[in-house]
Amino acid sequence: MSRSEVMAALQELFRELFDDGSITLTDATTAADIDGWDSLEHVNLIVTVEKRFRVRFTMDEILSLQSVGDMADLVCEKT
Amino acid sequence: MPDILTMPPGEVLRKKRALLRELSAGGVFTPVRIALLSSSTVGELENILRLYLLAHGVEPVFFAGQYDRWYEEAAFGDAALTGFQPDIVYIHTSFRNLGDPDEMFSKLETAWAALGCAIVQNNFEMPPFRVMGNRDASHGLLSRVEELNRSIVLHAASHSRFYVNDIHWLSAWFGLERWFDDALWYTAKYAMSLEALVLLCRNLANIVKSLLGKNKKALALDLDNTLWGGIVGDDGADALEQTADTPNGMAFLDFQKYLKQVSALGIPLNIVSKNSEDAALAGLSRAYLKREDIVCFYANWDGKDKSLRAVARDLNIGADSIVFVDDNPAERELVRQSLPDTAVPEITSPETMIRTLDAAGYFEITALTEDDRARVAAYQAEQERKKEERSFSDYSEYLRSLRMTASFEPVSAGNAARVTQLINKTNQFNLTARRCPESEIAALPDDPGTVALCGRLADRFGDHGLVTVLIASLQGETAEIDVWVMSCRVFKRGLEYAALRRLLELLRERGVKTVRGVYLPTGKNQPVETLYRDLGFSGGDGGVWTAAINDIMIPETFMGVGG
Repeated sequence: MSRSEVMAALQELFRELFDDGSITLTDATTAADIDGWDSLEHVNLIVTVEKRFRVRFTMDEILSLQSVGDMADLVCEKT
Repeated sequence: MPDILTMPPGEVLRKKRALLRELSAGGVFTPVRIALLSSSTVGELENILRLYLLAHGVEPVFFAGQYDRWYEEAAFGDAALTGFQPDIVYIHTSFRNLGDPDEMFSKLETAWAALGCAIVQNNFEMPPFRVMGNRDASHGLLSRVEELNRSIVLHAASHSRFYVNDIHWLSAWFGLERWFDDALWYTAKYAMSLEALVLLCRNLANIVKSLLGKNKKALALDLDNTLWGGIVGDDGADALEQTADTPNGMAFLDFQKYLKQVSALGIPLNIVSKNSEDAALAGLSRAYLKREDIVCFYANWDGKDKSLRAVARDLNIGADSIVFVDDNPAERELVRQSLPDTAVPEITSPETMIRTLDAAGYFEITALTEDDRARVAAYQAEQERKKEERSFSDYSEYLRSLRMTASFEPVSAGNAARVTQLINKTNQFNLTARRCPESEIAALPDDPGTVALCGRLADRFGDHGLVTVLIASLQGETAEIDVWVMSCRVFKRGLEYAALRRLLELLRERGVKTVRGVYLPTGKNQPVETLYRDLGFSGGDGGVWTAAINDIMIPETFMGVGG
């Protein structure tokens, strides 16, 4: 899966999870940009991403994620 | 939107916002107040549990205890918890903070003793590691967890209103490897993976809805390729697969055996089949299930929705209380369209039918009374009565022929469990739809301001058991009927009149001159909409009806009365 495909898939996943069809992701998108992306939801997001791309993140990786760009990089690295 | 009850956990997590939107959109919900006391994070537990409860028609209000303060909050009468007045306290402990099993059990016992409401308690998962390997089963932590779980189950056996959320079984069923998520524990203090948490919520919601009387009440089953393999009309009764001779035959045989066990819990099995009656009976004569295991038997060429309505009418229950099992997707779709409140599980291959039905938790048993065990026989007798009824042209002649005997008794410790169950699960003949916890019912005999009466009915076809409850509260010379319920199994027999007559006798002894009756519409209790008016009460504003005790007109009854 190319990086742009990963970004597209992430966007689709965000839209479903946050129940908001208008979400548009960029590399720089962070929790501050999306309504409902709080620490509780972050956990759910990580689990959903892991399942969607059939990857597992280590604890260090989870703790180091800062933005959607980081997430896409990590997914590309592992798939 | 597909059914959340059969949705895989990952999909529930992904769609939870859309699910919340749709599930809270409409309908009448039963409220319940649940306190979540936990030793781990409950954030997502609260969100997901709400979804499953809404799907069962229950709207929860939650109190979330502070992180890892479950013991202090429960044991020392926490003011916020007490002020919340929970109907149910759920104690969400897990292996993650087990510590020493003996110490844990004594803390649990202290907490349970201090709580005055229904308790749902997690038992404990097996540990995800074994320090000694296999010897852990006999001499290690694993064996001590098993002992702890045994102690919890023994407590449940000797205490009413104490229910075990069996995560020991659930985690094994799901797989410990998938149940525990170490990164999630260390980073967010979730005791189990989020997928496991979804399953836990589904399991827990089943207990709660069962306590609130929201279980399904009957099964309606197709025959060809559902109960047995093959088409009886084409293949002939002898060619059907329903014995241990073939793989499919074994699967169908096991399914029939499973259904027989469900039936023993008081869930009537009914047939809705597109077949000639003769062919259907020929197939059944070679089955493990016998004709006498079936209550309503509809084998005809009508639409299945029509047969389902007939089953609902015969059993006198709502179509929303029926689970329809059919291998044919077209029939399932027809029923979903025509009877949207009937439960229609997705049935695929014969070997998966038991699991599909079992996992949905339609018949979650939180209490099993003598009445439950006798229920299917009572339904059978009722069908016999109906046959008889058709042979009489005069209804009162028919009632006389039944040779009914009613008996009445005060609500007491001995019948409190059945009285609670009846009050909480009766929908149609239920004047106020008040739901009462067993603690409230158990306190009634000692309350001098209350007259609480229950009644049984028997006739020459059998004994219906305890089928009606009336509770009146006294204020000087006025009595108000707070609770009046009667099982749908004894409609149109005049028992309500005999019961009211007995209640009025008791009220007169207490000096009552005026009786107030309350009728609050619920969408399901139209059958008693005009009851108070018909009995000579007047008013009705805000659902309150009034009559002087001597003006109440009770129709003639055709039964002997004892007790």
